[in-house]
Amino acid sequence: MQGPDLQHLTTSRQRLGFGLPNPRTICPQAMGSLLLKFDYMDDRIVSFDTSNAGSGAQMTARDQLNQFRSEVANFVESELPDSLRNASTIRSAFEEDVSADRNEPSLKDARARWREALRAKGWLAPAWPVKYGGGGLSPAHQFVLIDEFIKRDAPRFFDMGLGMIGPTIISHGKEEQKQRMLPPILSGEHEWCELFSEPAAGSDLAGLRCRAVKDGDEYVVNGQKIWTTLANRANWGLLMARTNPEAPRHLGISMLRVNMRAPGVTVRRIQNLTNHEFNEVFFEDVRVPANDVIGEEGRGFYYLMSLLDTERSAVSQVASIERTLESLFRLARSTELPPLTKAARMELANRAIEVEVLRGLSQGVAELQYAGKTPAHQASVLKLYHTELAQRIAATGMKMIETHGLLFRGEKQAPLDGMIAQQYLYASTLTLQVGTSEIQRNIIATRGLGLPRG
Amino acid sequence: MDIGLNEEQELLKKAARGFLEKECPEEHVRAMEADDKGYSPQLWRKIAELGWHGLMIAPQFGGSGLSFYDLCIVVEEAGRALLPGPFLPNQVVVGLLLDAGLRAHQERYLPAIASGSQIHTYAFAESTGRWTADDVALEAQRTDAGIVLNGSKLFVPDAHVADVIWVLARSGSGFVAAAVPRTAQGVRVTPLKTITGEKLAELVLENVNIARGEVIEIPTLEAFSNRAMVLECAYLVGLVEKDFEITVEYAKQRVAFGRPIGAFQAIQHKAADMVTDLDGMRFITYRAAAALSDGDRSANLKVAMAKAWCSEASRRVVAHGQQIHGAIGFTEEYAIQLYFRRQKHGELFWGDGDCHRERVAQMLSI
Repeated sequence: MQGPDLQHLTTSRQRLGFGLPNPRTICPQAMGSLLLKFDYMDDRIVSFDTSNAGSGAQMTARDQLNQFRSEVANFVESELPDSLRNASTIRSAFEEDVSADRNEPSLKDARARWREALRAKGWLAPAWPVKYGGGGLSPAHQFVLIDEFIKRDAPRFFDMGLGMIGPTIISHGKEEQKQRMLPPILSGEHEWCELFSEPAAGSDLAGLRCRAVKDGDEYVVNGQKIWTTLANRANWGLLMARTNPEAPRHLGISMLRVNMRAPGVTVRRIQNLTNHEFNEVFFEDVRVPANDVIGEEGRGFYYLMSLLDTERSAVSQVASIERTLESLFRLARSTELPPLTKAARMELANRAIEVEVLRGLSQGVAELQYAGKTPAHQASVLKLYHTELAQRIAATGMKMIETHGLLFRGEKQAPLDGMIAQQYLYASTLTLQVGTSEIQRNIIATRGLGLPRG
Repeated sequence: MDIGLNEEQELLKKAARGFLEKECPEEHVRAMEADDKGYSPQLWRKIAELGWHGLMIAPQFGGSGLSFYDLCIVVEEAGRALLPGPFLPNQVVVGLLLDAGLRAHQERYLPAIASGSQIHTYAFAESTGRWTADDVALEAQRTDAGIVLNGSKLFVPDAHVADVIWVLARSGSGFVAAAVPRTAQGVRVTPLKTITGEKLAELVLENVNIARGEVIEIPTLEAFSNRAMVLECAYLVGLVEKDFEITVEYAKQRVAFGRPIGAFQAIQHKAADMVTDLDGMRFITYRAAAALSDGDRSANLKVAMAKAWCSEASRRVVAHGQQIHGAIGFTEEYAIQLYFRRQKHGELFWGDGDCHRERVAQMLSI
């Protein structure tokens, strides 16, 4: 590097509109920009555009993340049980349900050991604050963590407690509730389900009818919930119920923790197009202690909105879509299929381009979170785009395998063990759950763009 | 949506927007469409004073030494303002000189470009109207003194006002970029009428002799093309953002059936799709720009993906813009048509969606 012409640089910076240079940021190589660029696909590294990388005494962000990457790699190398190393197959690329291999007894112990190792390290809930047993990791670090896990086929545990309910309790619960409710989520002792939709209140959730009536230091719950994933396994549920029928619709709703094994709770499985663990849940005079109302009474709807923003912006979903795409690439290059038609080939290329767009949108949401801002309509943009893309990818997969797409999972002539067809069926629900595509578009238009409500 | 600009990049963006809102209002865009030159020499000088022409040029040649990524921030704002004239092709040539030029070329041309005293452009496309290396058919014949060019180029941006036209030609197994003065003997520039208002020209070269010292040898056209493609994308990001903003504002104001049309879900859902396309354009463009700035080996793929997406997403957005505006969007008087027409240039110049989708498929070996 030759001696910088600082005087000249200062002048040109002023011309460009930077005003007076800030002595903290002026570095000889011009901008020295710290521009986060998440990159899963190539270098598999979160890279920083630092023209002065390595020149300062201070560790650059790029160095920090590289060091973190090594830390993750070493951890996986030393802690991941051998029996789990090769358990991950092509199947998991299309997995819609992380619990699918839960029942295989040979893996159960190994999974428990791996989970405990992650919990002790704080990486079971990488985004939670350290004081509640999480990793306190920035989005950039979370990306690196997920990326390394995928690369090394290390299972991740992403259940509703860890992903959605824990963060909601952390954001809105009382300190006493955090102390009481968070540890059993981390230990795996408490599995949660989300009791939101009702037969007559889906997209229009504020119209829900399930009642919770105060009775001394308890609430008495009566009503019905539906489309509850994993209610058949969960021992706790996060319930949206009306506690004040006199208040305006949104303001009369509270969020309660309910024991799924309490007297008066009935769970009934709903048969569906895949083997998704879907249920309806009935409450008949179910008693809930008053101190299990999360946060404040009457604030439930707002807590739910932030929970849904979190759920919509889950960055880990990008990783699974990339795996799906990768497996379609492998299929396209293999001799298992006749050569792709021109149309199928172009469709697959389009999906690859769209996944690159998804990476960018996901990066944007992560950066907002990193800056301490709540992604509101951006989370909806991401959810809308992600789920519609997942459907297109499944449809492209079906187009690639042509008539073989008719074969169910398990048929030996089915490419990728029938997972494309399975995903095709399941993907139809993605644009319904966590708010339909239509609801997302409403949110983007009204909350994001300020268009008047209809 | 936030693309994670640092503090200085935010300042650069803000300064660019403020400057262009003042210096390049709608009247200027309209005036330049009708103007023969298609740009204002006065504004060109002001841009030079701001340091934009020399943004990527090192301080010793009169520039600021910023990155290609930083240039994209300015170009996005140029797109927002529909800045007319040779700003983009001039920057494509800067990239060429910085990347592949010899020291002598840099010394000769970079200070003149940075100061705004010379305008440079490039001649790439030919009669096929396509943008791959295969479409560059013009052969440079080697002579003792340099090369001779005989042939023609099409869609040469702003050739009629350029001091120097860098002509891309084949030579042996590689390519050359030859600095052809517009006034050199045997050079004929014929302006073409376009639907977008962009000034494009046909360039005919008859026994044009170029000295060896005026020729840059380039083994492949990849880097040159990548930069040109990403600049088109960045311009489109700004253009589409403004089209979208005008449209949303219109939907809030225009009343039908007793309420603003923006209250109807049929309009709201179009607007939501517009912002999704726009956000996607911005991210995919800056990811490609970053890959180019960093010399990332994934750059070819990322650029092809970005141009494929931006070409098509921009078309979807401006089409919604026209539909939401109704008949007024078809009038000459109302601003939205300026964006609608100009989008087509960015979509088609340097390859449309089909062109780049095919490239993506090839690079992914699918």
